[in-house]
Amino acid sequence: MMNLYRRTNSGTKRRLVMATLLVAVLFAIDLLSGGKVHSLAQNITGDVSGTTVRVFQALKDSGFFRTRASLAAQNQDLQTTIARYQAQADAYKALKEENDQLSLFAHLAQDNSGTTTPVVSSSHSSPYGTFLIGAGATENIKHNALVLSDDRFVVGRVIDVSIHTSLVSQLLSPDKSIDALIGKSPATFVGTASGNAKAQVPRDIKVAVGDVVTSGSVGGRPIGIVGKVVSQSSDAYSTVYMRLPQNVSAMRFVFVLASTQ
Amino acid sequence: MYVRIILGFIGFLGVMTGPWWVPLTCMVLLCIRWSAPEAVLMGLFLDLSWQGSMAATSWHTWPIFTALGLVFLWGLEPLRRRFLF
Repeated sequence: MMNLYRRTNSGTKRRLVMATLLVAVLFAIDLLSGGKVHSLAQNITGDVSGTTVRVFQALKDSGFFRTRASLAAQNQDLQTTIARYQAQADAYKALKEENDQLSLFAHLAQDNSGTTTPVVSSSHSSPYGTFLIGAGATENIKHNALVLSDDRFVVGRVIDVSIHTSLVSQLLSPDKSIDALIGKSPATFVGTASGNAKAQVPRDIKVAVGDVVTSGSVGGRPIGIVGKVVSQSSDAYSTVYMRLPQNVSAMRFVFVLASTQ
Repeated sequence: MYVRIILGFIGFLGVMTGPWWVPLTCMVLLCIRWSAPEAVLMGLFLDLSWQGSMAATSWHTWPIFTALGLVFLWGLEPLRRRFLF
């Protein structure tokens, strides 16, 4: 009985040591190969995540996740509409939406050299404030390139480039700080968990909701707008909350600049 | 055994498509019941997938989930031995 216990115990311990060694070996291979293991993992995740995002988008566009009330209303409509035409209309609507989004990037492409690329992962998946895009070294994506939304706001930087996917680090992810200008007043914004950022500025500096925030670290491009200003008479500083005009997790396409500034 | 396979499957799928707390929950559940090396691999896969390969300049670049996997695997071993053997 005791022998069996010891055998089981040493077997378990050996397994734990092997697992730990395997992790160390994988990290060493990744380090020595210049991030090949990273690249492989990101490619697999990008493929699976991209497929899932597309499937969910298609389901959403088809009306699968609509509320009960809207489904009832749709049911009413469907009684008076031929099913084939309805399906065609849904498909047209989805395509139009995608086309509208892509056409917003057209003006960006005219002014800047870069690539419009789909977002292939949900930003909720990453605990590190990153997301994957469906373009990589083959599509000429460069390390450290700036990533813009369709309204020209900088959302992040490319931190890893694989063959057909790249990893983007969000500019305003939690606990990251960035030096910025609100109008002409300098401020240091710190990212918060909600994907926004906040900064403390002296109360005598005039800041209004809607002011555009720019940053020299991204070539003076806009990084957000002032969403809220909280100031108390007892405090010498005001807290300025900055947000992106659109939600990063709702973005389907982004524009990756060819340059890093 | 089926539960372990299902938890492993959900965890790995969660790394790629779900919110980050799904694999974390699977890692904890796996390590509570089994000495499960796959929990560490799950953490490693999450870190490799979502972290850049930059130098460790902030906590964003520390392999937190790999470390957590190792902590769960080794740290919960006395508990498993006490109750499961």
